Amino acid sequence: MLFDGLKHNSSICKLHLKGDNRNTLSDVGIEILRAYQANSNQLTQFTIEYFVPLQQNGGGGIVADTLRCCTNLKTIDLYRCSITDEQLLPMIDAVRGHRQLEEWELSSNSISNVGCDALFTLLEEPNCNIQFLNLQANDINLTHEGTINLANGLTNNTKLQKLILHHNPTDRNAEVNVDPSIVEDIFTQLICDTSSISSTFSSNHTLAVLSLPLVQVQQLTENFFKDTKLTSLLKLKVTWQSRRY
Amino acid sequence: MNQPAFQDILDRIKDNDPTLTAYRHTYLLNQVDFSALGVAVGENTHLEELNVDVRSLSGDISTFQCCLMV
Repeated sequence: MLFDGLKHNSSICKLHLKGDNRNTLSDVGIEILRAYQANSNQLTQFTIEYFVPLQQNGGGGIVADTLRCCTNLKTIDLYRCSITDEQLLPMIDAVRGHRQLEEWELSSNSISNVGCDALFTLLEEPNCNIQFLNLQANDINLTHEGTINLANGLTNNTKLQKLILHHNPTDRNAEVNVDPSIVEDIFTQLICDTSSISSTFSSNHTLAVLSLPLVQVQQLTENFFKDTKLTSLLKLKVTWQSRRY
Repeated sequence: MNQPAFQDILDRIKDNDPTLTAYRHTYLLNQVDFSALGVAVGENTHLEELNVDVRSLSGDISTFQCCLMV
């Protein structure tokens, strides 16, 4: 069987399983994942696409188990798998300490605030190397408090470059919308807190693209870089770092 | 362009053809093909990507869509 072959194969580093909205993960998918639990070191890219619903047939648990084994993953793509918070939490635990992990695609799932908060907790960990996180089209309801938590979580992160959060309920529900100017203020402060030189120095200078339901922070960062005073401050930071090391 | 027969692809995988690096076709595999693919893949050292598509089928291993990218 293919599963036995995969256990012995030493070259396949990219695995892509694809279904449709009538499929659970299926016997084939589950057996392939089991094979990669046994032969896990070489896998760098892991994609499960369009399995709805993944949670049937124990799919969520076996995905988490496979992620735990594959410690050299650079990219995880779980597009449109109906992943809930309950399924996501063990997956987050599974990738804790996966220092190679750079990209996590989770768009078009059923992740809400609980899962989102857990992901931001992961981003706070110093050994987390995730540079791209896509949470577009989930059930995340970004409130004022949630926006502050998100900004706080990213304050000390020096790896995340791109975070996508648009097409979540905040886009669609006017009652829960956060005032865009407040969001802008919060993230302006995150990217460059000009209250003091020290605050500017310790601001997040890594995040380049942040797509929120209400504001495109990429535009904010672009505006910052047009600001000559700010550019000087950023250069100052580089100077400080070079002196320190 | 005509899709090459599964057997041709299988032979190249079995022969560990190093030039099979950017190739993508979809085959409906029965259990015999599936087993043969497993043996070939196990010995191959050049395959980099495996793409398995189980759409539109029952999901059991008697027959399913397998898209190979090598």
